[in-house]
Amino acid sequence: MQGEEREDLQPCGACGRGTLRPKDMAWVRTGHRDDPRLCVRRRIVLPVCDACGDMALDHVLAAALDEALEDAYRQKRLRQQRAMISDLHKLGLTSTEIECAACLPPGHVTRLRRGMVASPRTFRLLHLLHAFSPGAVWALSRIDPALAEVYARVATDDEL
Amino acid sequence: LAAASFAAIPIKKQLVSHSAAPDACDAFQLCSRLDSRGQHGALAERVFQFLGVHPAMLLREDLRQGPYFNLLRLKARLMCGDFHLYRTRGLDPLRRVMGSSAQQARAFVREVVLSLEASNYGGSVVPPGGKMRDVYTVFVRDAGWFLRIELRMEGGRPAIVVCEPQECDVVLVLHGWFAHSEGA
Repeated sequence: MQGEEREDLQPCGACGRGTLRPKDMAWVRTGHRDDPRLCVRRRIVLPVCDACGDMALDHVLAAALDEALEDAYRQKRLRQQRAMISDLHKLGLTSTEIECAACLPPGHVTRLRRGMVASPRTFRLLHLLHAFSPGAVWALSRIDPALAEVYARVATDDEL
Repeated sequence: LAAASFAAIPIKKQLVSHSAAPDACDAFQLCSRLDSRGQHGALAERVFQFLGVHPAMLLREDLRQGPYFNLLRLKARLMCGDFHLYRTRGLDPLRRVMGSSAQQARAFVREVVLSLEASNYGGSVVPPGGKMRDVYTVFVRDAGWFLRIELRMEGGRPAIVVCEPQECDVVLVLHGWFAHSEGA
């Protein structure tokens, strides 16, 4: 058994010092798409150099890594976008008003709540709207008068 | 890839403004002087981004003429998709620039390496403690950038260790370095 393992181990071509050993990459933060700190939550074993930490990926491992990262990305984004939309609803914004503010097509917010992953641009708009509401709604009302009524409704007396 | 962009770094202007350093060889000398004075850091980092090799590293690297690995044999294995792509300096830079998945980056690297010719060869390099690699450069875009590719054979399979966007042609830089070494 040990002999077989020893045969599988390859020297690292990047640093030349270490050996590529199978390592579980679960819970290691890495970048994927527009998320620089994505954490893969399931077990994925990749050959990692014990000296420099680099890894050599063939097509099977690259596909496995893509699948794991995509899965983690989807779960994280769905959780975040649902939480943001829920908070905006609690603030008093309806789905239609969120769509109006973020320039989204009708029904898009509902689809986002039901499991469609937002594009990076939509996600950032939602994030800004969530982080700076109702100030963001006030700023948008200057270019879209329809949002002025929304701002008047959701803003507190101090903000008005 | 056409949509990819790579921020240009006006390093030559900086070097010229620091002192008369018109070409890469002078840049190495300048950086080694700065290193000896303990002033390395920002400038050396910029040189690293410009040349693709840290100046101090390049002075220590054992550069040889080659290519060391047979490009045709390498391409033949690559045609079958049977190759390794290293993550830190191969996969991740491409994923950052192209915003692609690992498989898309691998497909891109495969296409690029299959398009390599003898004229793209810059030199062979043995990093300190490392193993021999052949260095190639490919011009990717009219306005833009070069890809520095370092590859080797590992256990009969091609391994792309480095595939990074660069601002300049590594072939010219390394040839300049050879000329500089021979002159010295």
